[in-house]
Amino acid sequence: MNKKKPRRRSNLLYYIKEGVSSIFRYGFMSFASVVIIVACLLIMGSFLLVALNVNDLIEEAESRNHVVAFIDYSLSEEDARGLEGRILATQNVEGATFVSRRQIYEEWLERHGEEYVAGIDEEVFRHRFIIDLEDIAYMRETLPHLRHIPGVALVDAPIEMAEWFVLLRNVAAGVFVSIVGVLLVISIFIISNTIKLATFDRREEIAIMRMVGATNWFIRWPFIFQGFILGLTGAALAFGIQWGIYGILADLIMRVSGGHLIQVVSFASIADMMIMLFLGTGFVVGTIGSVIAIRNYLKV
Amino acid sequence: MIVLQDVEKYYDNGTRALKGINLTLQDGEFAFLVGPSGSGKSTILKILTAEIAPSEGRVQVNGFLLDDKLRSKKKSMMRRTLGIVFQDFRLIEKKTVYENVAFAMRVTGSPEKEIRKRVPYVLDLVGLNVDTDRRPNELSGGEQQRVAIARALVNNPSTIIADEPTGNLDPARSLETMMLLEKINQLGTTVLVVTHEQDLVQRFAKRVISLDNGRIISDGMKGYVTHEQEKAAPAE
Ligand SMILES: Nc1ncnc2c1ncn2[C@@H]1O[C@H](COP(=O)(O)OP(=O)(O)O)[C@@H](O)[C@H]1O
Ligand SMILES: [Mg+2]
Repeated sequence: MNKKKPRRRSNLLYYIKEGVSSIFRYGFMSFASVVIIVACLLIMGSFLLVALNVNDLIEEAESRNHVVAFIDYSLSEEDARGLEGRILATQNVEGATFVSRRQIYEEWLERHGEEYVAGIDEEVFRHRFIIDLEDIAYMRETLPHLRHIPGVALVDAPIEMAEWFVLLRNVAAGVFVSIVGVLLVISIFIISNTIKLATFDRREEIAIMRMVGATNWFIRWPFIFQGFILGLTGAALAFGIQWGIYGILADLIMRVSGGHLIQVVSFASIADMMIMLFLGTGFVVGTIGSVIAIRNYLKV
Repeated sequence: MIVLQDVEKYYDNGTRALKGINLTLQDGEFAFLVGPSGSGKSTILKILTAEIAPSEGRVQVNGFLLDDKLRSKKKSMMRRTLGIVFQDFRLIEKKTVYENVAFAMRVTGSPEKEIRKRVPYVLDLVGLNVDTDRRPNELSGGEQQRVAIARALVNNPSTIIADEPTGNLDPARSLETMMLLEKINQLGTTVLVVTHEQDLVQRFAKRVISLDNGRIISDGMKGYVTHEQEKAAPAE
């Protein structure tokens, strides 16, 4: 038992040493691999940071997309208020605020003055609920449910506005996914080519390894290490650069806005998440790249 | 021990390279495998080293059955029982003499301590008297072949398989190399040497397996019998 352990460790050291030496031997390709991974992660990270920062703004803007349910004239204020339960029970409804005709009338008075409102009766106005939706993407589907509640006379909804917001959201997500997707594919392609080059260059050495009885995995591991060292190096670099750039930008925005207008999310508060995301992506990209390379080149 | 029973080999292009080969090599034996070019010598060696699989028949090498069900891990373990030597040496030019030999141990997972003990020992055994920090291309052909033989020996295989090991050497170096293989055999290793050099074979009183056109045409201690001699013999 204690005979096997040191051998394992020396194998691991061998794989890492060979992987690292291969990286330096193909310096230019390794450099290109790392650069493309860094670019990929920076774009991914920047999107995420922008998204995190504008998320509050968007939520704020989206929350202005209220649905208003007007209540039948025949219902008393008390009966009208009684509809709250049914409204809240409707799918996709997050909250509802009751506004009585009296409140509306008073708002009008305040806004337009006594003379303008003269002759207009309070009875002209309807009781109403201002309704917040959980997801404005399903506004169109939610409206009929509200309209069919007995006592609800009319439903007014900024459907076009809501759909515009949803479109914007989807386009941003689509752009993000396709850019990151393309960059990931390019990263994998470049890493796998770097490793293919290394395996091709060392084919004689590999043939000798086979001949003397090295196992397939012993032959493959250095190339897998080469891939994920490249991936992790790219991730670490990208993280550092991202942190630096973000720090400078956040500082600038805070100074320009005097710290009032926009509250910038601090990098430190999301550093854990970012480093995990970067290292995870780097690891996956590096490993997939090397597995593709050795699957083609180091056949059993 | 090496056993081939009714072995046939067809290549993908339809060439029938081996026709019903039956052959047994006991542990500790020394044998020459001779025959004209294209007679199937290399094909037999490639089957023995599991580079290719036989199309039909049974092949057993040092306890491993070499059929198409042989797992890659087992294949590696089987190869560790063999030391393989080629005509073109197949040394790694970028590595030193020492590293070329140590490499074979390193990639089969030997600890560094063992490597440092074993490599000088085998380099001494093959009679290499050069600076082991030199690269293969700074050595003569005979010296390079000694390095290759040292590499084949370093993992202490039970069998050495050599394909035309003297093909690139002058007569004096060739004789020295054969004598080295004989010495290795005397130390207990089974040796199978492919060659077409009749003069060389006749200098050793060894078993000679003679191959022609994919068939064994003679097998015994008498010496090298060429195809021409065989055909000529009845006329005498
Ligand atoms: N990879 C191959 N594909 C097709 N035919 C081959 C291949 N290798 C060898 N052969 C053929 O098989 C026969 C035996 O070849 P080989 O074993 O190399 O002979 P030797 O080593 O005795 O010169 C020859 O006819 C040769 O042309
Ligand atoms: Mg041959």
